[in-house]
Amino acid sequence: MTDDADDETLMMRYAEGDAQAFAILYGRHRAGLYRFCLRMASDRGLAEEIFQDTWTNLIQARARYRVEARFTTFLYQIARNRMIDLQRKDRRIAFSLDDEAGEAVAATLAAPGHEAPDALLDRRRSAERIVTALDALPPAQREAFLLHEEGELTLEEIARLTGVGRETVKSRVRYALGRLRDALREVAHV
Amino acid sequence: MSEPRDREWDDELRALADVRERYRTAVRGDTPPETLDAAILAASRRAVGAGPRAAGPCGVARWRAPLAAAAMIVLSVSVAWWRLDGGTWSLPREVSPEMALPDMASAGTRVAEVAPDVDPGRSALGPSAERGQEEGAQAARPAASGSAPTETALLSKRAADVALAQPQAQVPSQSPTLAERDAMRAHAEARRDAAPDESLGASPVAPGPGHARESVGSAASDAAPKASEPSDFARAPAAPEAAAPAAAAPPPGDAMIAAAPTRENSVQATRREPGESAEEPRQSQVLSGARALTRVPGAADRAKSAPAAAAAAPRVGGHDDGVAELREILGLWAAGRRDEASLALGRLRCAKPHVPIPPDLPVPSPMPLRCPDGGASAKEAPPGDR
Repeated sequence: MTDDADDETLMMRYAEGDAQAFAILYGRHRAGLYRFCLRMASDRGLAEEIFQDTWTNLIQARARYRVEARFTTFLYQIARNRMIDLQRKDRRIAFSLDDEAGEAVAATLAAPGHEAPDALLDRRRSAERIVTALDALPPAQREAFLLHEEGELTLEEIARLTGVGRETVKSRVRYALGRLRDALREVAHV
Repeated sequence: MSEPRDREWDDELRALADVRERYRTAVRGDTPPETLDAAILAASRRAVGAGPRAAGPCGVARWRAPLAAAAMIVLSVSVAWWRLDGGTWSLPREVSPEMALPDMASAGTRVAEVAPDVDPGRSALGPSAERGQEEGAQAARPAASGSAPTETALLSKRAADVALAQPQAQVPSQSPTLAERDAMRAHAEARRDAAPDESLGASPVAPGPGHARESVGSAASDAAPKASEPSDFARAPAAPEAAAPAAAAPPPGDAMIAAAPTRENSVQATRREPGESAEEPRQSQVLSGARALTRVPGAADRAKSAPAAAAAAPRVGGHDDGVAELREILGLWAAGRRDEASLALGRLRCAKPHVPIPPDLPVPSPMPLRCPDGGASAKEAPPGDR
């Protein structure tokens, strides 16, 4: 087993009982999926629940896995379905960023000790702006952006996943990037 | 990431590369907690049966509860089956033979005593009941033919009174089979002793379970003609013999339970004997234990009852039921040879623990009571045996 095997091969091997293949897959996609959940969920606890449920469902569905699409599409589809289930279950759940998530992002931007205070402040401001900008995005745009950035899905894959046209996805991602850019400019001007 | 056909889109992304890079930098530290990583990886290993299992019952521990439950069920069924199948129990100390048997012993006495009041033609006893009657009558014969000492008569009467006074306490109704087991043992020993007589074919008839309680009143009434001159002294020792055959019958649960002289039986017996004297209700109570073990006979049984009783009568008299010993002990006591009487009583207790010793017997047992074999029978005298 080598780390350079593609995701689909690793998933097939895991379905055959190779636990190590799953560990490699998990190492590759854990951060991206977690951030996707974190940005889409309203709080960190809910994000972690969705994250764990996604991997658990993947484990349980390993025998049914067929290489009909990229593994990433399969993985994010599970996560998205889980979010939809939770939202149907409790209408109060809104998959959007909240203050806690924004603070968490800001905390992760803490610079090393040798960084100058001004640079540190600038970094924190940038992170907060990004988080705020993401939070302000409509869910569909935010989702398209996150799937594009975190899941590294293509426009076609996102379109298939979300059930909209490719051009629609492109528009959403474009709009989201533009909002982030504007937000970062505002930080630079401050 | 981008399709070859969409160069415009690629250009847009390249232009926004700075924004994307800053976003990635900003969220780089957002990673799942290690505990979450560990849980998911453990679940993945469990799913394919690899790696360490999660903490929980495993191996022997996993089977401990089911095994314990199965063992308990098997033991319970085995014990219950054993008891129903006639297994013998060693009596606990609280239910010694002397405590368990007086009512049954008195039953035989009362069979002979009540009998004269009843019309012989009304006999409705089966072989088992007849046997009880005949034994009572047989027990009465030696006393009638011989000279019954007044001390022993008093002794017997007092024993019966005590049995009447504490029927519930003597035989706990919750465990009637204990007394019956002891009676069975005593009867078996007695049968061994009287083997030649038993060969006449007087094996006790097992009362049907459903009949056990129904014949309570009949046993006493039909025993009447057999007892010519009932004597109190003769009746008391004959009691174990009257009770033992019935108790020795195969153990249909209802019959065995019915053997316990309960107040219900006593009341039943009292109602059934309207012509009894003032003392007779009490006598009927005493009878209840033995009566309950008899069955309601049919007409054929009634027709056979008299000859059967006649055939069974001598056997009972030949039985070694401790009457002679008690008589001898009382004789010694009356003659002033009290030490010898006490020692004789001790010997009787050791040799025939099933023989009921009247509580008011003036002869004290040697204390502590030590049997010749020195074994388990080296026990203290029970409360009724001073």
